[in-house]
Amino acid sequence: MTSELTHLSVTQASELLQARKVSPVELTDALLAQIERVDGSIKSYLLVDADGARAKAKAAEAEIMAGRRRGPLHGIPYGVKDTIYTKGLRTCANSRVFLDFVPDHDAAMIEKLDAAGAILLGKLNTWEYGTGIGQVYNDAAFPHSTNPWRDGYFTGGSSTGSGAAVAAGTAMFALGADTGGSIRAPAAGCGLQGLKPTYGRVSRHGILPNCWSLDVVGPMTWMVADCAHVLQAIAGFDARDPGSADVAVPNYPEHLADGVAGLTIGIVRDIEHTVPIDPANAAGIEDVAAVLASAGARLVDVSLPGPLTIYRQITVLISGSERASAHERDFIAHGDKMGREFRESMMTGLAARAVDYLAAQRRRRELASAIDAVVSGVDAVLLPAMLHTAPPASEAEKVRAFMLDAMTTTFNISGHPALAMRTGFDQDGLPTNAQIVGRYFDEATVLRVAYAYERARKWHERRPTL
Amino acid sequence: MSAEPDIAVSIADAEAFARRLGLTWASTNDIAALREAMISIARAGQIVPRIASKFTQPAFAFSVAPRSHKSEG
Repeated sequence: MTSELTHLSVTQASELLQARKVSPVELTDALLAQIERVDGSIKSYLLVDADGARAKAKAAEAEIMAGRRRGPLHGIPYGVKDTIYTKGLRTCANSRVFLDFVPDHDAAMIEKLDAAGAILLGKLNTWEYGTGIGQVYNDAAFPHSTNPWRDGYFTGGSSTGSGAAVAAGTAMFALGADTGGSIRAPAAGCGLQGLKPTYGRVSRHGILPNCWSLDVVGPMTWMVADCAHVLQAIAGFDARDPGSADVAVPNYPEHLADGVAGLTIGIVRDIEHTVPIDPANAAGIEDVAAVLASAGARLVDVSLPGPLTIYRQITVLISGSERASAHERDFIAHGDKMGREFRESMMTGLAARAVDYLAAQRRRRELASAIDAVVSGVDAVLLPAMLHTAPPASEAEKVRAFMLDAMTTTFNISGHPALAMRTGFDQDGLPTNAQIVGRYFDEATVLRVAYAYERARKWHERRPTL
Repeated sequence: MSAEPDIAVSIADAEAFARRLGLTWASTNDIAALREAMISIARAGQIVPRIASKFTQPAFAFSVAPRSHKSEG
């Protein structure tokens, strides 16, 4: 029964909870047992709050039994990236600098999920300070997560534990943060659905800052419908976040199954890369295109403004400068406690010239407008998220290629909503991926397109063997 | 990452910059890493094109929200 429960989607578990066929306590105990069984090797968690989770599960059980069910996330156990503040629960961002840091308030997302009745299991693994490109030196405070699909394989990051947890069944859903791909890379590497919402759609209040003009937080889930439910709970304006957008939040689950007939989908085929796209990933993109076309969508070729290298250089300048601005004092006082990758990242940001940062932000404005002209000309855009499947974690060059041969930073630069989704598996059994991008604040269409593909192919029925 | 001929940063330059920042903990390896960081970020700065128009504003608080909304940056 335990493995049956841990492999439920949020939607399935929610239906069982509503029908009172499973209790929040049973569900939470099953997830805690799964953590106990597999997390010694997967390392998806930096901290598990078993007592807190059980207390919340008992409270949820009492409310549901009394007929006071709050909604689809009531009684659902989840985990959060450990850059997201949790009141009374250590938030260390996998850094020795924060090993004693216990926030006195919750992040806005945690407030909202608490209100929805979701049950926080604990804090999920991340690269230090929630950033990096995967130069794995293994010198942060805690060891990195490993990919549940294959031992010793890279998860993608920086929301490493969020990707590993949902794939391994140690969390029913997870929250991540994405500055250049940190939700979508681990979602692609671990075979999940990972949504970076539109910039400003979800409040970042109470999250360790990385880069204020690029950071976006969002859900990582097993199923597309799960993504819709979690986004519904966490989206909305928040005056405490200066980047928050006061834009109406639609009902995401309501139109998931409307189909794609009549939609125009732009497909990006002219992508630069340092090494060719993996054949299985290329086949996955074409499979998505074929499924959408057969369901009545019109596919048209589109091109994004380039070259790809300009997105990387702009991201390096903006993220480095903003990160250095946010964490300069920590670095000067405690740089010797930081891992090598984060230390070098801070050095890069501190060495940036102000005029170069400003040039990057101005060029970014132009690129965002040019990208928006492409995206707003269609209903959604289809392209890869990562060009490769997850590599062995010990092969530094392949790890670097996995993170850099990516089409993710493009949409942090522009701010469009973008979802990484699974498209099958390669010959080694590792997940392949595609990315669906939508118009500003139109996550609903992104989810609808992904849902149409997911329903046609059933890749979600395959789970890692642990 | 190796240095390109057009960007010259010496170890002495990196040491001076570390002193200016107040990195009292910096080891020899850190100084070497700082030198590489100075080179790589200078190279990134060279690649980003300059925009002559004064009306293309940098995105300090980037926003994609409609202009009618109060969250516009």
